[in-house]
Amino acid sequence: MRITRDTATIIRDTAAELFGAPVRLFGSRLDDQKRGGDIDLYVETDLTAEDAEKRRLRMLARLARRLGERKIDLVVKTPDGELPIHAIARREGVVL
Amino acid sequence: MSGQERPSVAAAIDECRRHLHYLRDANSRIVWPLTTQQMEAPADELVATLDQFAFRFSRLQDTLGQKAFRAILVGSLREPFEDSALRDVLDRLEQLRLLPSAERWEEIRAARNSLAHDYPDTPAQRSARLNLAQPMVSEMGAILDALAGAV
Repeated sequence: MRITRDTATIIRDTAAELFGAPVRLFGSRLDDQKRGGDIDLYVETDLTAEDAEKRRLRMLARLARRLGERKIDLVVKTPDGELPIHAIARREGVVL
Repeated sequence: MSGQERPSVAAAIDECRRHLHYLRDANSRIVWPLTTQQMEAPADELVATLDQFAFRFSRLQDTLGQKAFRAILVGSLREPFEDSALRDVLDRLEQLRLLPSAERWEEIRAARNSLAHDYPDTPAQRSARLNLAQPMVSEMGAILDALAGAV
């Protein structure tokens, strides 16, 4: 896993503040052979799509304030639908 | 203020105004709020208008964040922010009351990234993203007015 312990802690705490839920890291940052790349995150929530999107924007904003300008993608699964990327994130992702 | 710096501030403000004009035009032709049903099978005309909305939203946010903010601090206010991190630029603009909230600006930036890239999403998420971006149009307009007043 190619993020520091401090970064992982900030991401986990910020997800807890906004969603009260665990957050998974998936994608290229799990591959120790690669360099750089986006930080891909996945959260599940029972909130409506609109409330979830409000919190998604706020979580990304807080992470930008706390971590500086990093390329972070946050996928939030809401009850309105299942997408292929959700299954990938659940299968490959590591809970921070 | 040197002759070299003044045009870059003015050019950034002018570029922002141009993007805001076309963004407001698209905004005025969309019936808000958008619904999930509209996103499931959007009419061609709506797709074209949403494309204009997303493109100009993205360009306005880029131009404010990457050009205008720093140009105002360095070029107009003579502050030493040439090489500072964006986070420091935002904090200073918030202190100067040229930006209502640095964190809110980061939300607008996150909304811009969501609109500019085709992230996988559901129709409900797509309408939610656009509906949350809509009030940011007037927020960016107010920020632009504040910056123009500081030149």
